[in-house]
Amino acid sequence: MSDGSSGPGPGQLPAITGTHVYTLPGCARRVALDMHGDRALRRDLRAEEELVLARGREHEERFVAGLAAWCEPRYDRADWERGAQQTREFLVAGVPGVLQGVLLGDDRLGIPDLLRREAGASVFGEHHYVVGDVKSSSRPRSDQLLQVVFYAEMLAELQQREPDYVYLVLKDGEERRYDWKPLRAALAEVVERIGELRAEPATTRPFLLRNCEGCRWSEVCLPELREARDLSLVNGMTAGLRSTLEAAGVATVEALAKAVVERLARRTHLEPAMLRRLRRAAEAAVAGQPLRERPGRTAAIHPAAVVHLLTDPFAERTLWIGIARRGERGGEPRIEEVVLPESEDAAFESFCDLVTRVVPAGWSLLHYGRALPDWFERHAVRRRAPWLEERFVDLARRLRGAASWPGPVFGLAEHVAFGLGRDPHRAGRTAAGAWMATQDDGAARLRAKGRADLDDLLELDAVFLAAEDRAVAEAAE
Amino acid sequence: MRRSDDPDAPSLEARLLRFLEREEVDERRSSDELRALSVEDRVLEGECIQDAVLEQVSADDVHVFRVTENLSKFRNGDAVALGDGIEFDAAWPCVYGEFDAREGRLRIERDRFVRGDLPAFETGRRYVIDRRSLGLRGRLREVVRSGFADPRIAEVFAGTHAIESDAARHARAVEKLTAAGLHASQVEAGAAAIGTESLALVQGPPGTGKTRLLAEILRLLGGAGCRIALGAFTHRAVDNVLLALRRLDPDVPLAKIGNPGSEAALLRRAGVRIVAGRGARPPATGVVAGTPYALARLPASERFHYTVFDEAGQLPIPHAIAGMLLAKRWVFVGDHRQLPPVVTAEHADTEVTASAFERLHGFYGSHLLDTTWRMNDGVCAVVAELFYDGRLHPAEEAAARRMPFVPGGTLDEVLDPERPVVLARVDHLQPGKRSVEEARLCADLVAELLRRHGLDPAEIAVVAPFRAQVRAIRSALQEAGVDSEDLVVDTVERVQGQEREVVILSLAVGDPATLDSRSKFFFSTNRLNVALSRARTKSILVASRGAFGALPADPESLYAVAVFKQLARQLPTVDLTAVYGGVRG
Repeated sequence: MSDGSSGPGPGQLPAITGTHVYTLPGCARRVALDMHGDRALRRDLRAEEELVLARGREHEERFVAGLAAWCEPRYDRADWERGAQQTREFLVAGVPGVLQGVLLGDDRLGIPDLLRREAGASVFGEHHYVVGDVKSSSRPRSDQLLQVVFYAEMLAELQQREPDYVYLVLKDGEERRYDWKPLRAALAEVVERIGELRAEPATTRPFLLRNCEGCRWSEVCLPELREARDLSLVNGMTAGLRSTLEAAGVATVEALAKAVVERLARRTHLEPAMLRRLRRAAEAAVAGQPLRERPGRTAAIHPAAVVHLLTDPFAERTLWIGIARRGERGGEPRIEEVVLPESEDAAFESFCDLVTRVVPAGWSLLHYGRALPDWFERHAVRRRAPWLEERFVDLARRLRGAASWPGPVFGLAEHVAFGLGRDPHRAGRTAAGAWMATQDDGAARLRAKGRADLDDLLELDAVFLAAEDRAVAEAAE
Repeated sequence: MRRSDDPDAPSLEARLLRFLEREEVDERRSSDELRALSVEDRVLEGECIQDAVLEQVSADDVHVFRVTENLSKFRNGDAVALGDGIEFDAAWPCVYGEFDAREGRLRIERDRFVRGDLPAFETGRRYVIDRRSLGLRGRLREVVRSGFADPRIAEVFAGTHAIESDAARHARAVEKLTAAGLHASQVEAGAAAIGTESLALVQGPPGTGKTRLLAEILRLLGGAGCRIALGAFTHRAVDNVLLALRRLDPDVPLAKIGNPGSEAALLRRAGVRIVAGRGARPPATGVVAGTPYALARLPASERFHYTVFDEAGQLPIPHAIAGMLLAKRWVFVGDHRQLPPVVTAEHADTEVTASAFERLHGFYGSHLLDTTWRMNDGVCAVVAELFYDGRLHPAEEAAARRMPFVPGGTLDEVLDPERPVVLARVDHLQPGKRSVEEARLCADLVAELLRRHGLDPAEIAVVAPFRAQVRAIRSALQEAGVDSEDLVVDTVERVQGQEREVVILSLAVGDPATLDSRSKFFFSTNRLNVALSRARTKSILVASRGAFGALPADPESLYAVAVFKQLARQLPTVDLTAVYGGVRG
């Protein structure tokens, strides 16, 4: 749950909250906008984002339902003083636990999901409390940990005793405990940076990141970047590189595209090879299309099939599996598919069966990114599985070498948009797979999305890679 | 440690076999994927050199190139391919030789294991040099199968083995090791090793006399007529123990199997028999040493009383099994807080990527050598707190030691011996694997240590996580007029097992955004431990503030980063950005 969602009063600086701590590792600009921005400028939630939030709430409610003896403070919205007072009263009374307790510091506000009583003296008596938070992810993340460490520090001050540990309850409902003290230095840095943003929001500027696609402030930041022809629109750029280049007088995409590499290398001490690559990417950005490169010739990846999965990461469920032989694109590619397999075991078996049935032994299996081989390995280490790892070939890596791309490439969507000029989301966003599965016509939607993706992959392969591979194979023969 | 209760779950043996296959496949795939990148990208990955202009070809097929930009990770002896960077099939398989950074001259040599004619290369023409992969894991698969066919070995790795010991032999070992003047924790560990009837583990943090103890163990066992197999992951570690043992005992028969390594002459002078070539048999007594690949080639009929492993914290489980098959008693000496095994692929099954030492330590614990004769009080305090839960202490004679110091220099604040571990900050935002800013400071520090404070070049090591930074530092040293073969400038991996009076560690990267994606490598606390603990009296960390600013997404990396952040906060800091720095964030 987020804390401190309502803004400060006029003339007041907003409090630093656990949500800010959670958000900062992903994007400092977002924290500044959350603190000072006009919320009316945020884009509306998408259907799939609503679903994610609803699932998170359900997960939390399910977990909390098992904590019947726990107390929850009741107070008027934003009356944090009252909430904090009630929370303190619960803690002094030694209740087994507090849900959504309010912790207040000088300039800090924390609303941890869980405050649980433990034995051991504190200012409250012969007991003290530890902090936990309920998260709907399947694996713990650093931002979640930093958030509970933030709460733990506030709680330590309140109860005059450091909690022995912090904990996260993840999607499986299992509790994971962490030693929070080693993370204090990391938290201190994060809080310091948030303090700067709180006082001086202008100290941060937008930077085009993978996270921007899912951020509700994207319609504020992205036009700003485009208007400024910001260097973060260049593939391969980092915030540090941008600062270094700007300090050397190269502040726009166009300026970088025209820069003299040797001179720039002398001024910045950056590696000339890196500057050449960035300049080429800037040239592609100016041209608005990929500029073909001449990669090294690999051993022939021919013949081959393209394999693709759609998944629901929250449910850890495979939604759609598709395979098509390379070269069968255009019009109606012959796609063999499985929609909404009953279980993950069934999905894995279907995948192995499809590969065995559709793809002759020895053919390469082209896939996009790490998702498929990681999924395969996760299953393969638990059971006897065919030896397919040898045949996997990552199209993402090969596409990276095939061209300089006219903008940052975070995944298949950008390769499709830049490489084929198509709307990669025409059959829905990849992140919407879980939402599609909840609809009456879910199977049809997933089939359409999976087929669209597979068609894109076949087309990208045909345009950028297949001809080269065929030539190598023929030469080898 | 996971002990699966699922009867359908694959066995550890099956998982290890899969691990080996995945490693092999990944090596090939990485090679293919690298080749699918443009030359520029391969250069940035450190796997390629472009625009190498051929200057001359000598009679022994050594090709000398002029190279203006060498960002590669290549080392002398690495397998490479020489060609146009496009047609790999037509490229010449060869070996990377000496690179003179000052002159920009690179030697490329013929690979003696590759047959075929030498292609004609034109002088004055530009060529591209790429990495070439070699597959060596086939034999290890057989080793794993044989290992798990042995119920004792299978039991040991399942964590269900009950360690057996010969009490009388243990008691005699205590007497002899005490008489040899060893410290209490060494005696305890050594006696456990000699007395074992199955397994003993000794954890040897930096400078705790691990090699001395190993040599004593081997001397006593050799003197009692035992035949011992000695294994370590690197030739350097194998040679190190053999030479230490020879210094201790001039008579015990010593042999090394296979490649004699770079210390061949030294080994021969020390009377170590090199056993190489088909049909060559190792001696029937004494110590027979080799890397796991060499030990794996010994016929099954070769039996030993003990197998002793050094640097077992770097030894993958299959490699350990290769040595374990030769004997029934196994002694593992290592430290899982120093460098781990080299694993190339990402594995969801993290148990199979752990070292043999770490896995067995998790089940059976180990004997800790708790006193360091290397580090003074200040260096030891930092290392002990960060990496050994405060359980490591300096010996009395080491604690008060300080580096020589003549005040009045420009870098006195950094070099002050009363600050045994210090952070010299040079803020910059370099995103790659090289920082000229840090390299210049490293060079000036070395120059001042040599010229003002009178240190011998052999008493200084400058280390970095990346070879590109190592080269940048070497160039900066040459520019500063410091050119000594005795001065060690290398990656951290290459200095494990060594010690110096002063160690300078340059982190090289200043852009936190690029560190988020390579945090597992960069923020390895094992590597940090190795780097800081090489120093006897002074460790200098040269870094940009940005190097500590990363916030990686996975908690394991966050904890590792937190160690670096804690270090940056607790160390005395000298900010030299105004003199050496680049752009600040």
